[in-house]
Amino acid sequence: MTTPTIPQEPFPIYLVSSSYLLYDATVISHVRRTHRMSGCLTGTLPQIPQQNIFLGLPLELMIEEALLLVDKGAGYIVDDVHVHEHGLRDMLEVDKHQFLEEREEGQRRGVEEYVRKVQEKRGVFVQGRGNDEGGGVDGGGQGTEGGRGDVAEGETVFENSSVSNSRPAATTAVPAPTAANAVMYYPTPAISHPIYHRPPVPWDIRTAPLRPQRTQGYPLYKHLHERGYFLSPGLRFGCQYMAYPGDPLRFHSHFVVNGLGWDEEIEMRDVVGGGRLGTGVKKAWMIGGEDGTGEVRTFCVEWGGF
Amino acid sequence: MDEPEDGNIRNAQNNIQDADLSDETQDFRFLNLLNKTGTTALPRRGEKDFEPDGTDLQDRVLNESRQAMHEALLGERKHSSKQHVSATWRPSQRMAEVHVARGPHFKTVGKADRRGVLWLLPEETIYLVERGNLECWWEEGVPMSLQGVYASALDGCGGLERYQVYTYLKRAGYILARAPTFFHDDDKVVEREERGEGIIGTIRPATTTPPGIFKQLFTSLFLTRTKPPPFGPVIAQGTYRTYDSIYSRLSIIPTHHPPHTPTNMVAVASETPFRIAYKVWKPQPHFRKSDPPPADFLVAVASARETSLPTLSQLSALFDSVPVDEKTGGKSQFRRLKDGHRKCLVSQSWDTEVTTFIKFAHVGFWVGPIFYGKREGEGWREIGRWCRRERTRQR
Repeated sequence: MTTPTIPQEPFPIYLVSSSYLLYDATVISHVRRTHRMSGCLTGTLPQIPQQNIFLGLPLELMIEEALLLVDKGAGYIVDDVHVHEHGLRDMLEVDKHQFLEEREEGQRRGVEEYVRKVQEKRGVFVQGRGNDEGGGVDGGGQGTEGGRGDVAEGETVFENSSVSNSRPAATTAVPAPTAANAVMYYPTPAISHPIYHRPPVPWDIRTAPLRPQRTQGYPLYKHLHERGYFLSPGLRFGCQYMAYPGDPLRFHSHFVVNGLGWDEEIEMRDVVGGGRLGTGVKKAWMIGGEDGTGEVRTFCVEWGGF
Repeated sequence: MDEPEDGNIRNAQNNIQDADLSDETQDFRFLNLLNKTGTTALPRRGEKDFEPDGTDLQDRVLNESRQAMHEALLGERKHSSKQHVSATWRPSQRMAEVHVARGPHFKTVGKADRRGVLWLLPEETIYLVERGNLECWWEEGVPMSLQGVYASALDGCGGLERYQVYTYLKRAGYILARAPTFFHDDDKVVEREERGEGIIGTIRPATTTPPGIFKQLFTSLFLTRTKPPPFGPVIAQGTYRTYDSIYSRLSIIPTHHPPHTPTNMVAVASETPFRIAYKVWKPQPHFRKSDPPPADFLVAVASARETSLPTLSQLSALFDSVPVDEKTGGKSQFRRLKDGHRKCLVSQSWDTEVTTFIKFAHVGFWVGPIFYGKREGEGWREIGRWCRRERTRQR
């Protein structure tokens, strides 16, 4: 169990190909807990990659979410393509060698761990079998007990049985695990390493800081967000946002939200269609916008009947 | 509000089919269930609450869900030395050069050049790294992180939207390849006028198929097909010896004729985003990427934030770059109208959370004069017979 720690603010929000992405699970959990933003996980989850229900890193922030985080001073936008290009160019040879060595060291430790585990298992297995052959009905029970007890004991039994056993095929067919033939793992970290990736700190950026574009729905987004709602993209329901009363992990959404301009004309059939849609999916259809004074007002439409 | 209404038939019967689990954020606690037992049973929906009620129980459950999500996100992407594949990202080519190809993915992914070097497209590179099946190195000599591979390769995929559609279908098991029209090349040299008739150009009067030879003979001998007069009744006074001669006069509204046979595909006029980006095949065991069968689906990708539905001329251009499905002609009338002679999918996504597919089909309602009543056995003749039967029955 790893409890999420709180990252330092402002944290970088990475801009790649006009999408706002987060890669750090800690930051993602923090944004969810503290800033009430869920974003959208967009990547393949490596544990079970062939499905579309549970997704993994990276997390894409809605443009409104990115803008609000920037406005709050909780995050700042970093052009990640640029940062990687520069970082790789300026990477020091010394750092690189050290990084690669550490990586190899990590892999070697993984291999050792693997060998140890295999031997442990093998000890248990062979001991169990030896008991089965020589002993009686209660052999299996003893074997597992002994194996769980001590690794060293298991290994001695393993050696003895391999010598005395009348069936050498069992031991010779599978070569003993060594560092040479053991399974080595090649991990890919989620976050870039600081030796080739140093995002500029916000107080060090000399040019004008990057800022996500303000969208038409932003005032309403901000208004609802400040009142404790979680908002997520709403294309599935034919609207701009879905408004959840709490974390979408736990709660159903209440509103189907469309942010409009204050003087924008709304077609009657949109009102009817929206009202029917909202009621049909057990939600309320909401429209709203910022009036001239900067105040946001919202209206809900429900499909009723006499 | 939480209770399913009794009178709602959809709720009672079709709920299982209707439920798309990816519709809503799923509880990550179920992920562990999936992971450990290896069962294929997916979590049921409706496990959520209506609103926060301030109870400790609810807080605890939510915290567990968040914790499960956090841990799922920390899951390591890795592969063992048995399946180890490494590649080097070549920024100049915008592709990754594979050192040794290994594993089932390469049945459908990657393309070898003349020297025998296997290259991965940017989306293929990100997808494999993201799954933990590929170790991709920069030319500078360090292995990429997930963040790094996005930073380096996402632009080459044509943006997150396109990559998202690619990976969505990949995760669902489909086989994908880039269509030749993936990039908006500078092939606009050909004048728009030069290409054949678009959708609008193919609108013709309804009855144009020549009737059978005997009928033609009969017609030429006994009937003179005169053009309808510019004024007066559509069926002017005169002698009509067949129903056809009357019906054909009645069909005065021009109809659209989609092509039934292969035509020259013109990709020039279709513009991004309404341009075929991917060819998609259903999963199949004997797929050969060097010699693929005709694609099952053709997909264009558009962002719902920035684009509306395609206009008629955009659609027309899009269909011009799609091959004609010759099988459509042999289908029943209803299927023909449903499937169309040329079809493609347009995927719309709004900030990638929701990838939606809309099918556009090139359909002609004119499928031969239905008053002949030959095709379906449901033509006017049958209806006429039915009416007569009814009348006699009533007497």
